[in-house]
Amino acid sequence: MQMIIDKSRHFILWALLLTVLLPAPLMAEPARKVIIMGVDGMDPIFVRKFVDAGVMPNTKRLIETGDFKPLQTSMPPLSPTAWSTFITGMDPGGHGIFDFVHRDPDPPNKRIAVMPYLSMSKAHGAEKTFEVGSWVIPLKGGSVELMRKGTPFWELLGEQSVETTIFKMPANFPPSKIHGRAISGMGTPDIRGTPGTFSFYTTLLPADADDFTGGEAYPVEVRNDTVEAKLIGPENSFRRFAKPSKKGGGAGSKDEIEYEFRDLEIPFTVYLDREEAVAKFEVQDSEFVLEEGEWSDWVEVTFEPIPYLVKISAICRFYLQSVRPEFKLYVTPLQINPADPAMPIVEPEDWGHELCEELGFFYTQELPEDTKALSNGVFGPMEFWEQTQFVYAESRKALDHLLDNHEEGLLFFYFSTIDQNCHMLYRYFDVDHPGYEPVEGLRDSVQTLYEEIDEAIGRAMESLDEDSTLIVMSDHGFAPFYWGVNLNTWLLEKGYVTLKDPSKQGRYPLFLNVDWEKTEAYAMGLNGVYVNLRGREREGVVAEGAYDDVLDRLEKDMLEFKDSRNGENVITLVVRTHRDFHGPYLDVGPDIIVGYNRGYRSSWDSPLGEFPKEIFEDNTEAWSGDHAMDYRHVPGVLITNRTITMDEPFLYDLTVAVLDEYGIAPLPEMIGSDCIGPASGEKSSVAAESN
Amino acid sequence: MGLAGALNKAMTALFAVALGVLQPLGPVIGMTIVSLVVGVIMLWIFAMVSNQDAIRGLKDHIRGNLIAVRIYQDNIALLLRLQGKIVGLTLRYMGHSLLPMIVMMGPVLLILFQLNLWFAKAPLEIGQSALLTVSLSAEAAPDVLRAVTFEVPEGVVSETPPVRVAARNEVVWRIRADAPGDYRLVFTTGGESHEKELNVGGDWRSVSSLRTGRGVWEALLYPGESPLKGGVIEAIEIEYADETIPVFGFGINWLVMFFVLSIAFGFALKGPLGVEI
Repeated sequence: MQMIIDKSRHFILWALLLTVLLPAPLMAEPARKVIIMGVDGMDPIFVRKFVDAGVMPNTKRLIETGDFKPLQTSMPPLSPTAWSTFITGMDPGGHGIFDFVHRDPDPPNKRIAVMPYLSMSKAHGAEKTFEVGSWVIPLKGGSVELMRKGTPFWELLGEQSVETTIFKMPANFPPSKIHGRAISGMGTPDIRGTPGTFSFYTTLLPADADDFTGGEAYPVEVRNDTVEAKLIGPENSFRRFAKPSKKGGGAGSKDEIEYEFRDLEIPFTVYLDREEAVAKFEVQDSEFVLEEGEWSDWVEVTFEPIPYLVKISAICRFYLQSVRPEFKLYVTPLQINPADPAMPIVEPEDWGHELCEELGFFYTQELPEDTKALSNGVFGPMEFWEQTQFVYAESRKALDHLLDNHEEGLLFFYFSTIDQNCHMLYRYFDVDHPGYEPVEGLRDSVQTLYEEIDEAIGRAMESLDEDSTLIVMSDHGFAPFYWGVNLNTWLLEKGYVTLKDPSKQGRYPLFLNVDWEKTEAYAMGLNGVYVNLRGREREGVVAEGAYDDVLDRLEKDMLEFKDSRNGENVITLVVRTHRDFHGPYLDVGPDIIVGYNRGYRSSWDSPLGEFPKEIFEDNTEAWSGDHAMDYRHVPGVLITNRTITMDEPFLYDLTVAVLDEYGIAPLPEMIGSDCIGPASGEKSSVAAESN
Repeated sequence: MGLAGALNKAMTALFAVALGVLQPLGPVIGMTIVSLVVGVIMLWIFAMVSNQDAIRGLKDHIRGNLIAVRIYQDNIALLLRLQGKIVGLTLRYMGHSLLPMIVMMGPVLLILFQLNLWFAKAPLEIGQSALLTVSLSAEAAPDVLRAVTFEVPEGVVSETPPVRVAARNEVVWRIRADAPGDYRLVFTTGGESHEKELNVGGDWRSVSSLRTGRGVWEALLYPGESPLKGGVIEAIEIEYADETIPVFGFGINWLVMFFVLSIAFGFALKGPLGVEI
């Protein structure tokens, strides 16, 4: 009996001790719910218009019971920069993302003076390898580095044990440390390591097939009503092949042998019934039948860099455009399989598997809407619209799943469809657009997109409780893209650039025709201008003492730069990185960031170092709306069930506000202030109605 | 009908009765009981066919030599001799198992074909699509390929027109079922007509993915429907999804579960049943 009493006493003591010693977070109440819907490209003018028209009833209700303000964006107002600003609460000087591309002022190829590279992440190959015949075996695997600097807000939430789910946040590949779950968004490559390369197989190759960007066209033949083709996968870094000798006659001596790595391939077969316009596909273990104009479900494929030992899983969808008279087949970029990711896109990794169990496969590539297929003429406008609609449907399904399972903490959910569609569809509804083209099914497409988001907002409102906060926000708004500006050509005309051979102007990319000894500044990226500074640029000539003088002249000239056709100012804002930004990464970015006037944007050629003959180009391309301009022309939106306490909140203010939702103080390097106040008087009625 | 047909018919009827009784209990219990019964039957066959006394003697002999190995560890020459003897005895022991194994192989294969019919494939879910393939003989003329049709019963939808794959002499449709049931699809071409079962929705039951006329072996492998005979249509196949048996939240392949359970039952029951294996 005494022993039993002793044991009971021990148990009680242990229980008391555990209660005292248990870490506070384990004992804490569940963290309150904050839902952030990040709607890329959602524009305050469109929101106001559609709310007033009565087609966004949920948004109207949210605004009436909470608040709505334009949300001032970053400069430049590009998605990687803007989302990085929101993530870190810092400007580009703090997070180091100034554009989609940055420049290397001393690239390995000595023929090229400056070279662009993708700004958001960097791949590192295996550090040590050994070779067995043609096989290259890595001793230590390669890695991918997230180039965005600074502390993401969810890391601070995690330190306070706030459970966080981040669904497809841009500029977060690979996902940074999180107390919760994350899947990467914009910046995530396809399986080939590109931003997304579609494949187009056809018996009638387009004349401009060699100029395709973001996709590749492959000629195929129909023999015995059968098409044999190959899916092209990533480069096989496990196996090298001797390059054919340039001199002919086989490889030279061992010292002269050059090696190459070849792309992995998966053959597939399509059996055609041209009478019925239908086809049967065989792709590895998958077999399916498609009618003309029909999409397949996701098809899982497996590349084997080392047979039976190393496998790379990918997923793709097939779209049988045409069986007759010509065969046309579009295949989506090969996506990293979220259930078996070949690159680190999910944190923790088993969450990807769980998502696939619930949702089926889904796009993982950074921006899934295939704008390139439309730009290259592989898609017609309605085909593009249909493809973007199933991207949206996938996102919408994922939102349902995450809301259903969101019991506490912060949920961030990203939508890309408004942004990508507004880039491509502006010319179908803007009669002033140089590329205006009426397409019956697309006249009201933007309204449809906003109606869809409104429905999603309504769904999120349903999941609110008394204490929850809902924030609908965007990184920037939208404006028409009427005229492309060849800024390098303008710099040439103003004497900042000199060409080696002016007669060859417009023929070479990557500044190959530039006489660097007589060049003071050059433009690279959508909004960046760099001074050709000695000691920093490999071919630099501008002395450090003359740096400010060059910038002063550039700023003055840019603000006086007018479009002679209409007298409009082309540039309405000049931001000087070292003068206007803060933080340790100022040197990563350009010296000047150009803010174009509404309707203007950089041309396509100038950002990659070309010098077309004309400064202005009417934009008749499919890409017809944009936001890469003076940030004041394209604010985003901030809609919430709380009050907004600032007249002009910025993205970095919202970061502080999100932290404040959990009573967490911002870091000293964060430049914003809390912009969201307590619930307005009517807030409780939102929750009540929703519930 | 032939021997294969008769065997198929008898086994299919037997399993239909046996698993029909177990059907309400679900596939986990169904497979467990089948494995138990098969384990017992295999033990019985083994006991009947094998030389039990010889096996017992050999095992004792092996055990004795193993003990000797432990005792004389410092006598290398003896150890080598003992190991040689153990290898020899083991081979003789395996030789005694060979005949029962060969005898059991036939019934085990027939049982596996039946279990494959019951556990390998899942009926189509309502709304799920599947490929339906009709394969014709190599001699079939192109116009016969073009003439293949099938009657779409109510509750089933043909989602696509037929794809006539001349290179393989086959016709493929994508079908979908919108209502549960066991349907009979009727195919005709060149004056001949054949049926194929289509299983949609509902509980665990046998699912016949292939009705074939391509020889005895394939007929034995796919015993769910009587073999096709003598016409241009060689096989009719429905691409059902693979099924697994749910055990503690994990989907277990039926073959793995069957072998693990039947071997486990065999070992557990050999003592009580007095069988030496």
